[in-house]
Amino acid sequence: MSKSSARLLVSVLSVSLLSGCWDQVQIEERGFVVGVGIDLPSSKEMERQAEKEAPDKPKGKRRYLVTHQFVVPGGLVSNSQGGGGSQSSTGDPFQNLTSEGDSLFEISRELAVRTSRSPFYQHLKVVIVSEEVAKSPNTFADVLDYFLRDPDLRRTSKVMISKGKAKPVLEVKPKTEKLPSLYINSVAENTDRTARMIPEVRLGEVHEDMINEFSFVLPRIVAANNEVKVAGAAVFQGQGNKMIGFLGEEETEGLNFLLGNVQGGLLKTKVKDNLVIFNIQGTKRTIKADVRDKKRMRFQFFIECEGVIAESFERLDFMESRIMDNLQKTIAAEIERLSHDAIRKVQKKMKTDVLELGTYVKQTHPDLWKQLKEDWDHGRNLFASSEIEVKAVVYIRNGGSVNRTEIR
Amino acid sequence: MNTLPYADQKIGQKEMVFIVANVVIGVGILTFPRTLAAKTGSIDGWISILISGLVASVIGWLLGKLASRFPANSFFEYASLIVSRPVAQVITFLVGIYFLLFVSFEARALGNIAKQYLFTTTPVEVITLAFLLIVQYAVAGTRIALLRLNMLFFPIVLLISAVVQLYSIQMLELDNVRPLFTTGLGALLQGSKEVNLSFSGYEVVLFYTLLMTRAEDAPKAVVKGLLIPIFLYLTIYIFVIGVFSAEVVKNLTYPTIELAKDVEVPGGFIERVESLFFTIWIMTIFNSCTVFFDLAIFNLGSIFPNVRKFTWLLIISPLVYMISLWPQNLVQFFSLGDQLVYFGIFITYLVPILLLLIAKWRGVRGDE
Amino acid sequence: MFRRVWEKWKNEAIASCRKQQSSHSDQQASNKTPLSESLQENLDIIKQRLGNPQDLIIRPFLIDNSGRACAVACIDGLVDSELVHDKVVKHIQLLMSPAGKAIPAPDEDIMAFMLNEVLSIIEVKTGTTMEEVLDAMLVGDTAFFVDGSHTTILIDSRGWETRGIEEPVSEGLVRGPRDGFNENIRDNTVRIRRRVRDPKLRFDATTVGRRSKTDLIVAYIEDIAHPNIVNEIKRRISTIDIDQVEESGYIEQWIEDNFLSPFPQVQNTERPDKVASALFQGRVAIILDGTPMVLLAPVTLGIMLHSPEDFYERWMVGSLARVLRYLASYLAVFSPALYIALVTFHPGLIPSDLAFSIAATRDGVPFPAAVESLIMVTTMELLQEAGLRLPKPIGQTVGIVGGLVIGEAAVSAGIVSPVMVIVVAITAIASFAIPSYNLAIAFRMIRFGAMLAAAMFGLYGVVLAFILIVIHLTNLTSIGVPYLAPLAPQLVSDWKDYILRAPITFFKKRPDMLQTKDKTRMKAGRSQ
Repeated sequence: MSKSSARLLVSVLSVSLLSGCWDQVQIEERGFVVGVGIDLPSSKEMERQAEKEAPDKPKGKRRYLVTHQFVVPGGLVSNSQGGGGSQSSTGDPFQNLTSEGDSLFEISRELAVRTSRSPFYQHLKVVIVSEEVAKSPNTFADVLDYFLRDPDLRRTSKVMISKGKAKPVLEVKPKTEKLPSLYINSVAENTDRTARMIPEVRLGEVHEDMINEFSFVLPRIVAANNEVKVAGAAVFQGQGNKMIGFLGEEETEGLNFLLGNVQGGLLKTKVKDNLVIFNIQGTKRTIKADVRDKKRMRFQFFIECEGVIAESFERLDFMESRIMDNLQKTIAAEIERLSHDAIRKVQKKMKTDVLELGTYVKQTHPDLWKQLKEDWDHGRNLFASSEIEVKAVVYIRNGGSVNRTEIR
Repeated sequence: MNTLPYADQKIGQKEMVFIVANVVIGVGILTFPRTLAAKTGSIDGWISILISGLVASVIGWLLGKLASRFPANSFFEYASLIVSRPVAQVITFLVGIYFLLFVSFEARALGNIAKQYLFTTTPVEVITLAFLLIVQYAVAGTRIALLRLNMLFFPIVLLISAVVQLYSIQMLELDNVRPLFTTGLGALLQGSKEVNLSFSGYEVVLFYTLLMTRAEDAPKAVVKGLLIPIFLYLTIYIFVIGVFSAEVVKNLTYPTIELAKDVEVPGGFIERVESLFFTIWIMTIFNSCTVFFDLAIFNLGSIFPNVRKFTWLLIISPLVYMISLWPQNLVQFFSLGDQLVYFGIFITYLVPILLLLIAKWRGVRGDE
Repeated sequence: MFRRVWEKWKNEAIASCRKQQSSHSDQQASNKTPLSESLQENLDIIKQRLGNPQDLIIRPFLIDNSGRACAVACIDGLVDSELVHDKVVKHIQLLMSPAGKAIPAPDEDIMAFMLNEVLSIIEVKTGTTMEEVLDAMLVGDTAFFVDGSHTTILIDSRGWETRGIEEPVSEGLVRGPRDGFNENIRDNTVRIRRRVRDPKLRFDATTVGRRSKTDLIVAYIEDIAHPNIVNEIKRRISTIDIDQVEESGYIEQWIEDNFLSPFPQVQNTERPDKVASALFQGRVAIILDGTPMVLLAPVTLGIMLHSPEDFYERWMVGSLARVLRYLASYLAVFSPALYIALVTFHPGLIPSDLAFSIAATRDGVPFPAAVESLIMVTTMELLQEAGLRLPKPIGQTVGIVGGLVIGEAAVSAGIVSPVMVIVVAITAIASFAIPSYNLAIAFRMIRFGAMLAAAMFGLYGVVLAFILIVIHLTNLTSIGVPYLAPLAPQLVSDWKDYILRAPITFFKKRPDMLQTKDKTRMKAGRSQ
């Protein structure tokens, strides 16, 4: 039973003496990276310098400008308390470090010469890739390779595409939150209040789409005046994983309806020149397909949407079923309009299947999909030549707490 | 000293079930979804799991039959009864070597994964050494206590697996699961061959039936013990595919850990579940390791009866450690594992089944 | 390895002791001094043997009429002097006065007469050797000598000042009996007898300590306790060979299964109700004179974490309290280790906001988390030890001063982080929630090991430490009963009194793990 106790003691001692403490890094010495922004360098200066220093060094095709957002924990503590053991600091609770190089890992390691704290990625919340990087051929997947490969990084970090440079996005100073990245992170979760934002896309999901060669959309983020706006979407072509272009806010709304992503938001409609605003509380989408003719496949989207009236500038009697029926139809027509706008853009202009029709075909007609796979939204682009219809039904569950505000 | 009758050195059917389940669940559970998805390419891999589970159960049942034929004999003893003593010596020696290699393999697997997910600078050598020392401490104790450890740790392991699966339900995407039934039979069989490697370990029944109060329960116990991993593998495979899709799973080194990595526990109590999952998983690896280590000593010891158990421990421990440090990288390591399993299939499945046939034919039975 | 050396050493030691002992007793047998017929001679020998101490009382007097000299000898303080006065000296003098009984003729056996007709005391015996007399006197008997007789009457007149029955200090309860054991073995057996009015209750007495000759009683209920357990305990007690036994801890350490284990393998209590319920469970109590701490064996980890109150309160309350205590034992062992592991190895496991604020509060702390924890945990141990040694009111003050002031000051001085103080506080509170003090000490010791493992390998180290502890526990036995009993080996029928406590009507059988002879606890459960 305790025969080996002595031996155990000896070995534990030897292990403890041997081991030292390799992986011990005190929590305050870690550089918590909460956000990463990836840009292309604006000048060739660094590249030239690197060329000069080591001309024979293996070089990547592309150089990146990566901004790491580090948390400065001292800045997070409110100073009014006085104690807390930390030196009172009045500085920012974060620090952005930008570095250039042709490998993301290299850049991450290069930060060691510039900061006392080694980057620690386990709390990484957002990865922001600039439009420029996303649009360059074969770059997007290369960029994400590092984030997926390193076991330290998690597949749950959110990926967004910035309109313009990524760096300014990480430099906004929001009033409500202390860290820009956490602020962006929580803004991106507001999908239950607006339909203009596509649901958060996590690193792992991007990986799935890239491997499956499906086209996909990522949320668009725009920085302006010390705040960010997460609205609109970036469309990626599955073949080559290259960004094709942005969808505007309205188009994104349409896309969300088509994808069944809408959990909340609003729809405006006009009744007798006055606005009536409908508060969306949930949608359901079903697809029907007719795939007999490969060249002209027909897809039908059925969108069911329910909600309540949020605001009405026209004094309507919401107790009357005829009025409600009419209203439901006009709102449905609005959904269809939005959807058609989105379809026009992605199908006709971008010719990229972000409507997940490919996935649908794969699931329902796996054999057919095997034939189509190579010609779906590239090659012969059967997607672009298919017919897509949208049919929307709206259920107004009630007219709100009051029927009318005034009698006109 | 046995003060009380129940504190004796015997195990019941329940213990056997848990031991088998625990020993089978090892390194395989982390990697099998990758190999299986690579072969079948879809959710249909679950059929492969069932097929290989069935095959394992049949073999396990046969092994149980063989062992329960000789309720009071050790493997070496009944092997010598069936096929003369020198042949039995060779077989038992090989079996001992197999288990020895298996311990090294599992210890190294643990070192590799710990290195990848928990440490960055701590050398694998030290991680493995610390683990092996604990294993040795367990093996140095009584055999019955070692087997009882299985009963203690296994529920914890099941619990954490259940937690991971429970919280990944919200991430299941039906899109990833469909279409069903698209994989051909050939691919399914190929897949089941891959999964079979992850089912190895139930051969312990050959050696521990000796300790059972009712040896005739051994075949039943193996099958019941195998049902647990079969069920666990099924759910894990479905979840992994459902969350990641088959294409992605093919490209994940340890899909099951990645599943835990994706999980977010509501309430933000713990930020990352995978470290927790992994640390708990150490317990099951530990269990398999102690059992295999014990069997290595048991078998080698039964050939040389006058060497004491403790001496064997001293001889084998450094050997296991050195072998575990042999592979240079993951690829080598996995191929070592595969070769080891093939060796195991030969020495612990084919040979014993052959023994069973000979025993039946010659009518050899163990004395009660 | 140690074990083997220890066994060997122990056996040798025991063997040599036995040899000595036997030779010693042989000598004694041959050297026993028979009492002399002369009173004076006897009294002289007593004086000489005891070194004529100050507390030796010898009261010679004459039996009336016959003029025969007699004497009582006793030791002051050990005897109830009132009893000796009223029931012995006065009695004899009164009864044997001319108005009293007829005095036997000189040639008749005066001792038999005394026993049969004069002394109205229950516990009397006769003695014939000087050794007998001395032993009896030293436990509080009074020796009565009559000149011309070489027997003596030894009257049980034990009656010394004892502490009254007080509430147990170390094991407080909200609900439950308030009486506790005291230092007098007779009082203690009474407390047990009062609760167990079973004719099968056995008090097997012996003495331990070659010089101290301390009374020891092994108590059990004959048709419940498994004979193997009782015999094993008696065998181990019989091997005890030390010259003095002060406290039941001596016994505990001699009879425990594994002296290298940090875990206590014998339970101690000063609550008679706990002892009584243990006896009904089929366990054995060892009562030692001179200490209120009664030993209970065998014991399992589960039993150590139980409190009698679990059964006094309703089952839900009891079960919840137990769950809490199990949780407390994990916290008591692992919380500083987990703090070290999480803060220095796996900050990724901590929720982001918390991680950042811990990082913020640790900003400026000069020590690594491992050292920081070591400092704080050691300080806490110091405070606990200091609080124990000081008189009660001051002890509490030390606790408060230490806990609040040092904690606060250390934080504001930037030596430790506030989170660390919280962790240490949780650890301390958790270890106070453990009902057995000796188990709590064991946990406190293991805590340091866990912290070391965490400092080396983080969470991996903590898990290895946990596995190590569990291996040790599965191998550990208490008088042959596995220490983790209802869990390993699994005895599912015992689980109703384990982490949860089932409703009282469910306990139809006695615990399986003790293999009691009489298994039935209730014939038919609750009938309504």
